[in-house]
Formats: sequence, structure tokens, C-alpha cells
Amino acid sequence: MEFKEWFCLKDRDSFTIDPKINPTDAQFYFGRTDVEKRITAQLRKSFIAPGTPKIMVWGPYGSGKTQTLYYVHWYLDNNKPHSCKLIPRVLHVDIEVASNSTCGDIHIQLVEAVGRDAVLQWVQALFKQVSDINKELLDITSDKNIANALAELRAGGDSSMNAWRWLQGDSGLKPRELEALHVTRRLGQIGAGDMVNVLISIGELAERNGEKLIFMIDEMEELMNVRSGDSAESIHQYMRKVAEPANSSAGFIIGFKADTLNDAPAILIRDDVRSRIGEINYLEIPHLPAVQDVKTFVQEMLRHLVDQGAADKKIQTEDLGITLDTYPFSAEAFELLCDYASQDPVKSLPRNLINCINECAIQAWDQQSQIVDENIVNDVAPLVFG
Amino acid sequence: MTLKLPWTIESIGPEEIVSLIKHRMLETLSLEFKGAMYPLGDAGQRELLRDVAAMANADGGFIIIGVEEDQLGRACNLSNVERPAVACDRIIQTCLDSIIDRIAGLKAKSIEVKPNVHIVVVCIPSSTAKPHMITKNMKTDFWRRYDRCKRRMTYAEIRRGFTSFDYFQKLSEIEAKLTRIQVGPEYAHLEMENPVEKFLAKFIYSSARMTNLTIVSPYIGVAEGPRVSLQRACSRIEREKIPTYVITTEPTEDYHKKGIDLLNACKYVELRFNKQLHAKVFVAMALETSDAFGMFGSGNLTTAAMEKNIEIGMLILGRGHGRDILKQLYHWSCIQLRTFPGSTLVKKITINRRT
Repeated sequence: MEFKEWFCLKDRDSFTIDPKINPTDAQFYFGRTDVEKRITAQLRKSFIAPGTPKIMVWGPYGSGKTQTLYYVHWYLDNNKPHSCKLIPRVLHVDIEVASNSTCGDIHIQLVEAVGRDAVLQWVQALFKQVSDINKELLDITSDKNIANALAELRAGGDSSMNAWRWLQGDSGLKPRELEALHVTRRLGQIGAGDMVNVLISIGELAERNGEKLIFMIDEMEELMNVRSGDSAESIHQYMRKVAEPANSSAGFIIGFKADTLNDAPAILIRDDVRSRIGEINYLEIPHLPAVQDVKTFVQEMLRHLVDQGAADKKIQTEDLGITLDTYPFSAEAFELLCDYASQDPVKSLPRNLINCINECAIQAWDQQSQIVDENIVNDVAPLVFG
Repeated sequence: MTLKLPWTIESIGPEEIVSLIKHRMLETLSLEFKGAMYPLGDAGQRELLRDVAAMANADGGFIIIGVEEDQLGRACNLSNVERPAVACDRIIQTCLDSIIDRIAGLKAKSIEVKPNVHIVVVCIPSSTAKPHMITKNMKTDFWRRYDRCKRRMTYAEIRRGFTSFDYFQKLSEIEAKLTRIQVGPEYAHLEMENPVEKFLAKFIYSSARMTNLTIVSPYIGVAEGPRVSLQRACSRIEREKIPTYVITTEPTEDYHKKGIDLLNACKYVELRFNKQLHAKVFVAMALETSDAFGMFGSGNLTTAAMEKNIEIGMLILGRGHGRDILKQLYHWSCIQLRTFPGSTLVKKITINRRT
């Protein structure tokens, strides 16, 4: 019998939860009712003012920041708040940041995440709806250069490619190529503002096509890698401008590791960025603070990962002597696990819990045991929780 | 009145010098007149070095020795330079000895403008290696020419000079391209020499906090190389209590048994056998995702793979798209493979239990 059948797992081969491995895992958000309420409330409000989400989620490693981003994506796809009148287009971006990365490096990754095809499609769709595309594009963005570049995407061939390169902030365009695009300078030549205007314009373009652009940007603690003062400042300027109230079309939810907010990359918590985003939009994803939170997490997780019907049948037919709400753990093993998990608050993290549950199950499997008992928890939990 | 100077040192002759004086040519950023040769001694040498370096740190140009200037800096008279050939040699030698970096293309030439009237022309090309520093008598100095005069460069100018000149920028661009050509994207490196040793070395010597190690290798020996060994890896595993999951085939060869013995002695190692195993995957997960890394390829964890065999492997780092690839590798090797049919537990991790 395979592992998944052994433990009556539903649509998975282990007790691992990872939306990057199993996309349907995005729907899970266990034991975080408070956080869930706060984040969904902020989402609802954000679509009213400033018009798009601008949220930062932070917490220690393993606290569930990535899961939060994916959960929010799932939430927007499946339980979209009424305040969001458009179809969310959520893009997950794994930003790469090096020691000399500048705002240009961030910008190109965000624009690439949207994709040329999508932007072209929006421009094409707009072209079909309006009589004067150039006027319409100027209405979307007051910047003539951006309007011309967007219009040129429709041209096809090299011209379209160069227009896309310009929108990405490619500094390698030659003067002749710039001239052909009817733009007066390279993007970003005068600073981050130009680039942010492109991002906002693309967001506006999406809105004209009934979509709401939202970036999910994870692992932004990598901004700590930026050593050069000038590079850091350029990224700060970019962030500041994206956070401006004037941007109501390109939303973001940024996840970064920090044990306290003071540990966060300075770029993300500088006063001018914080005041624009709003303190209320800096949401902590903490350790599971109390043993009851751990119990809730584990129970919810087991309930969702295990096929309850199959498990119930197994408990009855095999006379396992355990209850469904802790299956496959015995009651004592469940209590012991939660006890281990909450003895050190620093280690009381979803990642550790999931890892421990999985290892306990593997050990039970090795022993050909239908349940996870205290002995197994005593073997496994110290390795995870110390 | 000023004249344009499309000169090279080869094209300058007596007529050009006469023409300068006739037209009362004005000194410029790129043209300086000296009525007499720099005197011998420290003061004269210092003045020479400052004039040449200052012009090199600007846009290059010409210093014409033997042409006097008036108060307004206009060429007015000729003045003979004694022993012009020696003067040229002295100028070049002094500059070679005391200006760093050396000014590429620096030349000095004597011209007989009239019978027995010689001048010296010093040609300072526009440099890609500025700022040039004067070093003499244990002292260093940076000078720059501004219009007709020169002065010491400011700290900001010196710094700008070092970070903005074409040569340095081009070098940085070349280095960046070379790195991309050699290693591909930031998160994936194709290792064509000793890939297994490189993984092991990275694990042994990394200062990152490792949370988990997975070794999938059909054959495992003591894996002794010049810098690394399985023993040293086990030492780190024990010292830092890193849960380690090993999946291999059941050993029949002596070298494989020795490798298994080493692992068996390690408390934090779980060992499984799977006779169908052919894959070679190594994954080291860390507290910080960016510190995690993995390798998959042809090499087993054996001394032969590290020293004798021709192996190839892809090293994946926990950056950018590498994070997702590592997650997949970890999930496959540490979660799925351990519960595959045929993956039999041989030794579990044994640590002190709570009593």
C-alpha cells in the first residue's frame, strides 16, 4: 500500500503543504484566523482606497509568509471582495536582488512578470474599442513617451520588440531606435519615476481591460544584499513612488523575513515608504503564540489533508482506538506534539509543525504502524523543536 | 584669436609652431606654452609631472616648450631649448618613473623651428586610465588641468575618476558578461569538473545555518578528496545536528560498505536502501532560502567520482528561480523518495528523547 493510502491522504502523497509543489495548497491557511481576518479586511479596504492593495507581510522564517501570499491569491480568485470590481490578475514574482541591483533590475522583473503578450493584448483590445488609440493611451498615461511606446507594441517586428525593451528599461537602445519609437529618452534616464510611471500605466491599461494588476513579491529580505548606497537609494525611490497614493492601479503584496520590523530591509520601512503604505498595512505573520494556536493549526491541517471519510472507516474497521480529529495521531501523541511545538516560541512555526508531522508519519510508515504514537513523536519532535 | 588643433605629434612641424606665434594662439585646456625647459632638480621635476598629469587627467593635449606666452596666455616668442633630444628623454623618463598609471602614448619630440632654435613638443593623449597619480619622494598627488591652469583634484573628483572612466566600466561590463557566459543564470551553474566534490565542499565550508541534508546516491564511499571527505561532512552533521537523509543501494562492494559504516556511526543520519535507485541528487536546505543549494547530475558520492571519473552536475542555488527548483528537488528526494516502494529504512535518526 502506498504512503498516501496508508494515511488516507486526500490528493497528495505526503503531509507537506507547499503551493509551489501542489498549487491547490494555496487554499489552506490553518490556525491563522486573526491574521486571515486582518489581511482580508485590508484587502477589502484597499480596493476602495487607495484603489489597489499595498500590503507588506513580514515574520520569521517558516512563519507562513509565502503561504500567505498564495492564500491571498487564492482568496482573490475564489472569494473576491465586492470592493474589487475587476478581475484580479495576480502575478507571483521571485525578485532577484544582487549587491549592485538598482531599481532598473527590480523594474524589469516586474514588467517581465506581466509579459509582453499580456500588455500587447490589452493594447490591441483597447484599439478595437476606441477610435483614437493614441489619444486613449495619452489619457491612460500623461507621459507621451510611455504612450508612444505602448502604441508601438502593435507595430510588430523589431519596432514592437524595441518598444517592449524600452518599457522594460533596457538601456541598450540606440538613438536611432529611440527615435523610431518616438521617445525622447531612455526609460529611467532621469530616475525611478519614469519606470514607476510605466508600471502604473500598465496597471491602468489592465484596468481598462477589466483586470486588476497585483504583484505578489516574496523574499524581499534580499534587499539586504544591496550594498551600494546609490543602488539602495534608487530602489528606495522606486518603492516610494509605487507606494504613492497616485498609484491606484499596480498593487503589490510584499513578503519579507524579519523577526521584528526593525530587522526589515531599510528600504521597505523608511518613514516615507511607511507613511505612504500605512502602518496598518504592515502585517506581521508571527510564531504560533500559544499551545492552543498550535493545536488549532495541527487539527485544521489534518482535517484538510486527510480524507475524513476514508480515515473514519479505517479507524472503525482497524479499531485504531483514536479519534478522527487527531488522526493519524493518537490523542496522547497529538498532545505531546503540540507540547513540543510550543515549548520554544521561536520554533513554534508552521514550517516546523508541517515538517514534524510529515516525519512522524514517515516513521509510522517505516514501522508499518497505522497511527502515530507517543514513541514516534518522542523520536521525531526533539529533532525539529529541540 | 584661437586656432583649432587637429594635430598629431607627427604632423607638428616648424610651420605649425610659427603659425601658433603668428596668430597669437591662446593657451587652452589642451594646449600649454612653456617659455623654458623645466629646470633640473626636485622643483622642476615636480612642475613637469604636475603639468603632464594635469593634462592627462583632463582631455590630453600638447605642452610646447620653447614658446613664450604673454600675460594673457597667448603665444608670442620663440625661445631655444638647449639639448632638445636630452630634454625629450628626460621628460619621458621622469613621467614614466613618477606617474601611475603610465600615460599610454606619451611622446616628446624636438622640432628645429629656425636654424639653431629648437622647441620640444610633449604630446599627452586623451587617457582611458585616469586619474593619473604623481608619486615622488614618498608623496602622492592628483592634479588636473582646468582651462589654462591646473590645481589639485578634490577627493570627489578622484573618486569619480576611479569609478567612471571608460576602462574601468568596460572592465566591469566584460567581467559581468564573462560571468554570465561561464556560469549561466545566477541560480544555476553547470559544473563540469568535480561536481560532487564542489557540493560537498560547499556543504562542509558554508557558514550558513543548514537545516537539512539529503543525499541520493546509488553508491557511497568514504569520498576522500584533497579538500573534502564524507567524514568531514559527518563531522559537521554531528556538530550542528543537521538531520540528514540518505538513500542509496544496498552495498555489496567494500568501498560502499565503508561509506555506509561512516554514515551508520552518525546519529543524525537516516539511511535507506532502494535497489532501483539510479538518480544522484544532493540537497542542502538552510534556514535562509538564499543559502540553500543542491546538485543533480552523474556523480555518486564516491572518491572515484571526485578524482577519477568524468562527471557533470548542475549546481542550483537558492536564488530567483533556483528556489523553486530546490524545493522540487527537496520534495522529491526528502519527502517522496523516502516513501517510494522499495525504499527500506535501515537506520533512523536517533537522538536523546525527552524522558
